[in-house]
Amino acid sequence: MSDRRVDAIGSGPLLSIAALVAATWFVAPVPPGGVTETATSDTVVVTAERAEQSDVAFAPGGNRVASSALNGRVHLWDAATGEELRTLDAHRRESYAVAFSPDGGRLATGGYDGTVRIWEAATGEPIRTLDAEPWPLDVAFSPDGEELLVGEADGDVLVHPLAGGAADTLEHPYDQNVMAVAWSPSGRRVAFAYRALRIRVAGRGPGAASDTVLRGHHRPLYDLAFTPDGGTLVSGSRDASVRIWDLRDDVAVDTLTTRMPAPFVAVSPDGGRLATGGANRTVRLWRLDAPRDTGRAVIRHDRLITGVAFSPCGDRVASTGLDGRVRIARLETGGGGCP
Amino acid sequence: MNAQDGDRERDDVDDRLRLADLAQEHESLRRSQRRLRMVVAALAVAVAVPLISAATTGRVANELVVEEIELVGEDGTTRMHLTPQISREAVTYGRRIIRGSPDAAGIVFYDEDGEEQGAMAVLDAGGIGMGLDSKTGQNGGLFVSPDGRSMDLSFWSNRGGGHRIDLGIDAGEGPSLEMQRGGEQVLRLPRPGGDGSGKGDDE
Repeated sequence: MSDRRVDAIGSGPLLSIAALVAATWFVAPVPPGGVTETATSDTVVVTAERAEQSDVAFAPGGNRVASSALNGRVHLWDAATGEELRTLDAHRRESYAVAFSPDGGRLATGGYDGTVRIWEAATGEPIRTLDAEPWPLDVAFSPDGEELLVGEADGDVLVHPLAGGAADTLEHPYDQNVMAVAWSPSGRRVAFAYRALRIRVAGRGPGAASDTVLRGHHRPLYDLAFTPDGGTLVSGSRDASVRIWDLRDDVAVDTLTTRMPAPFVAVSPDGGRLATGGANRTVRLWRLDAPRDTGRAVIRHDRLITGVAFSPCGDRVASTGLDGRVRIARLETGGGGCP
Repeated sequence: MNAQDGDRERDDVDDRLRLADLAQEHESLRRSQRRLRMVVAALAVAVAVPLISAATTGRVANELVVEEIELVGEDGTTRMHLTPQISREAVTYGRRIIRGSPDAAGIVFYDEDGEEQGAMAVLDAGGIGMGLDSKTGQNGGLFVSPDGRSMDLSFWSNRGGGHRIDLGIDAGEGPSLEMQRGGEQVLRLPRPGGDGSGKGDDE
């Protein structure tokens, strides 16, 4: 916006000088990196530069957590101590998505600058930049780590071969934001959630299952998660419901209704538990086979929650919030995901 | 797991959450202190600049002319935005999305998390409307057509199978009222087959 008129108080040097003085004298400096607020045996809370956080992911070993922020940065944290391991100036503007490769060696991030960037997770060195105009909203590595699924704001879903080559554009019948993408554990199916109230599940590779569209949510979708056997898909929506879909019959077999929207979902590695978070500012754990009766609060944020993730062993759950915090809670029982 | 184990587990979780809440509260107080200093600074500027300006020019300002006004909460969260061009993009749950709204000027209201909670807009193509949102989405709307031939007021909820009430006026068909309970229509006036005037529909 240019040439703004501020006739009432005048513009010019007086205002500029006053603002500069105020900024210099009164505004507390912002720490350059993240701050570990508390780290106990049960809970780790970290604050990343007071920047609103948008997504969270555990590394495959469970010892590191990555979070993306609306100031464009991506932080890597020690999951046990909350120590900040690395800060990536990942994107020029907002970062929305973060995902580790299955071997933990690479990190994919997506942001409002219209790019997806692949990073060496250990060193923070950039490996590759992928075009994702207008901008990506979610990313997911294939289980073999050879492809990256990207959901974009214009409705495109792209599969990028990470060894090089052109991206495969999946059909996009809805000209709407792809809010979430997920790869089934076998790599034979991909699912993407449109803001336009539909989930599309597409087969990948020869002999894959046919494509299907799941409908039922009344308000925009935000997140998806497959169960470890790939037979069930969980979807979270702003309509204050979480739906559990049986992909053999393409029907919702259960619907968890919450008082406030809890559109971010994660399934534990053993497939037994579901974590949800959203406008209620609370991460709750549910039993996937009886979700309506089992909700238990494990994390609270000051503002709404923007991402939840289980650790690969199911012994921790992490969340990000608009309060600028990443919270990691140790759970009483493991999720059976590790030997 | 027996009932005692369940209780113990809940107690443990509560203890941990209380500890986390205390740490959180401490940080919140520190941030409040910083915010207060910023507010004092902003107030000092806001008061001093017009005073100095008036004193030096002899002019008392009685008009503010700007292109946009954005009101923010003490933590910087946008709560109200008055703009001649409502953005086609919106940030929701930490993600910027394309919402494909028509060109319009208006006021957008936001909740304490910065999520849109409603708007009043004048469309560039004509017409004026208002949308009233809850945390789960839009639940009410009002629209007046640019030619003044139709006006509609609606409220709805997707809970309980879907309830809805629509009240409208059309210059040609006259007034109408329609209600749905649990997704089923329970009232429609004038009744289908009526002459549109509403007269005699209840006979």
